[in-house]
Amino acid sequence: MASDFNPCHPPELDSNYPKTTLSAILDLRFLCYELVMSDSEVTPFLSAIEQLNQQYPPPTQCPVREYAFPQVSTSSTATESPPNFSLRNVASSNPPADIQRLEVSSSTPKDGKLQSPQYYSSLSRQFFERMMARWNPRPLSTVEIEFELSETRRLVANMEDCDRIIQRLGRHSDQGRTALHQGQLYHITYRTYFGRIFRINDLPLEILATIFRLVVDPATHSNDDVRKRNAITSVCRQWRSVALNDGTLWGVLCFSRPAAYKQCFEYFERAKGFPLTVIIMDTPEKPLTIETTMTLIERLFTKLSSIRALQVSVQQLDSADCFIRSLSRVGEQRIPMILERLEIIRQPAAVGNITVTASDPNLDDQPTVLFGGAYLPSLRHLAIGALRVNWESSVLRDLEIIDLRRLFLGNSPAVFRAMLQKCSYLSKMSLAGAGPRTSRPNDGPPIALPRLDTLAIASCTAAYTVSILSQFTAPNVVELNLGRIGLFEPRHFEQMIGKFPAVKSLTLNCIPLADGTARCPSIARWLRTMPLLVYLRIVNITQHILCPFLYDAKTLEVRPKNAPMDIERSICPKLKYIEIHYSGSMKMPNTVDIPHWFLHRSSLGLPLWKCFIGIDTLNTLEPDRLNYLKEALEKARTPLYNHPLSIRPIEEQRLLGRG
Amino acid sequence: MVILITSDNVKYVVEKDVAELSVLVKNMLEDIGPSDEPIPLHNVTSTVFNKVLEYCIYHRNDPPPSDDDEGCASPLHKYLASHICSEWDQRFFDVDQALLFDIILAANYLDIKTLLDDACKAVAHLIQGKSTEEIRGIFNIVNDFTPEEEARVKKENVSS
Repeated sequence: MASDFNPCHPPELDSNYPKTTLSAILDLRFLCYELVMSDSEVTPFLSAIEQLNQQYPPPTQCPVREYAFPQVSTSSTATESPPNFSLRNVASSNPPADIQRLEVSSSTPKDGKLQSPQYYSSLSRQFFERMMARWNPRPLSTVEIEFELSETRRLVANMEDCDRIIQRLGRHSDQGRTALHQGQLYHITYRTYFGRIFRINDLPLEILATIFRLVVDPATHSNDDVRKRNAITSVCRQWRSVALNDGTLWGVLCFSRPAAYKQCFEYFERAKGFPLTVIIMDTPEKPLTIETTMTLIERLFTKLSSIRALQVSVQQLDSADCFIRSLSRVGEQRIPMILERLEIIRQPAAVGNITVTASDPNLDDQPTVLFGGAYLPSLRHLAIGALRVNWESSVLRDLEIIDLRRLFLGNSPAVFRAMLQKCSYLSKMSLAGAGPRTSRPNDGPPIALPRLDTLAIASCTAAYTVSILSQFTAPNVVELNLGRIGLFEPRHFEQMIGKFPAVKSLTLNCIPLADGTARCPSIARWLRTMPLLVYLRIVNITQHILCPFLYDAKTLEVRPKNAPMDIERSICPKLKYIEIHYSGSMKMPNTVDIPHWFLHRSSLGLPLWKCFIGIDTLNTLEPDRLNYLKEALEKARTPLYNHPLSIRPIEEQRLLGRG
Repeated sequence: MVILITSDNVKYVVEKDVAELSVLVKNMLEDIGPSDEPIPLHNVTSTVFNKVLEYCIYHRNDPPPSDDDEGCASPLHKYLASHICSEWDQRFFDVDQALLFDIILAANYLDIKTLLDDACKAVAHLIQGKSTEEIRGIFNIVNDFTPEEEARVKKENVSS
């Protein structure tokens, strides 16, 4: 066997290590640097260990306590090993209960120093797979259980030794880093073998069910969750029985394709009377038919009282309308409800070029009253897309999230205002092509929405957007998203001045500027009233929107390069991150404006920390322009990151307290 | 101060706010009123109670978990999602199998929800992301399905 490690002559040990750590270092699983040992090498190796263990006995701070071993019948028990289960016995005993533990990963670093988390993760997986490859579950003898228990206690003591070294010498000292590494290895071993004698099936059944609930998130229904549920119910009879009898595990039903319906209804039955989350969606290729919709409703609504969340996203108006009309029975039959979240969206609910103006016609003239006019005290989240709703007669109060798409919210602002007035706890509002049919800027004093922290308005004209914004005040909005808004003129920016002083993240998506708007100081005046802005995302926006960030906040003129400004005179002085995307027909400008902007902002003493640009966007740049951008970012000391629009960077999530 | 006596007759003098993390102890204190009477903890040994006490002292100032909507999965998960396991918590549960088993039973008996949830989480982490075969290997669970039962379970899983 090729090895530069001689087990008979172990490496010299640091004199700072306590004696108890000697036995830790001599842990069989990690002392070997090679995976396989021949018989002739095992004997001298074990002799050396025995000798050293006598010299430095294992720690005694963990006295063996009484442990009620699981009872196994004599007939099914493995051959009893000698009672004194020393290391030598393990190696020579028959059956070789744990001889496989002599094998350790050949990738264990030879310098014994701390490695990356990925390294330990990979090592853990390898170690686990090797354990699995050699182990078939079987009843263990008392001696084997004793051995496993003592091994665990020894590992725990070794981990504690490592912790003590780290505490004494610090994480960054050589010994501290070595102890961290050793501790990681002990922990991998500990975790790999811990479960073998953990009496999980002797726990009370309700505790076993609690553990299952922690493994399978009862609130989600991804493919991974289905796989986890299947894994748990297939382990043994006891696990299956506990899992099937725990209705909370089966409360999420995702009717995403007809093939999954059978399984969903199986879950539906298993859930008994526990709260349900029902998700129904289809695709443009296979839209949900009205017949299937009726079948689903008739069966699912037998437990209507138990539905906590109903999320429907379908292609056909008839199908979506069928759901919303079927909910009328709540008021008609006075059905008690626990519904917290209702989403009924007819797709496509938000499409690129649709914009609503105050004069657009409604979708239909026979709207439905939500829940038959009943008030649902539990309802907190309402999302409706492209559907006919009689908002005047619907009773909606105490909502925390409102998400409306492509619909008119009543004929006049009065309905919209009344709803806002009754939702003082509103924290998130998204209006995509949605709002009152007619809108006037002065319909009474603005409604105060002090808890609103996220606001998105999209697919409207600029004038309509501004009139919507005039209906309420939201001084604590931290995330503002304006998207697909019609031509913006200076007066529109002027009308938004001072409305969002707390914004930290601003997204401007497809906002065309009228001629001359970019050169007008209105944008800078508006930005000046958002001094806390840290994250800026621009999507398909002319690069001129960036220019106001270079203004002197006092003179409202572009500050010359290399003339650092006081914070008081800076526009958005806290701006640290920018995300840029261009897609479709709009390409990233091949001009030098954007690279220059980074350099200019940096020369004012306001450098950005990170720039996120999607790869698709970068691909629209000619090679020399791309290099120019990279050079400019390098000079401005702003790292460039490739980031897709669909995922929010962790920096933004943390900024908004969602990371 | 509250006097608690474990099943092996070891006496503990514990500050009231720490002792009242146990709903069982809290209810007993409310029942007996102001008194110096020691409270017996019949199902907990001193070895296990030492660990329980260590946990309660460390977490004495934590906000109490929401216990509304009992029996529904969502509030539990809301709590668990918000309750980030600290390094201390992770280290706390690096104990041998017997002790973890006894901690779980003690937390259940004493009705200390956070300790019970955290201890269950330590076990759940071993199962997380593992296949049926791997779970059996980890916990040394013998497959006790009959061939017919196993075929039925497999068929059910395939159809999903």
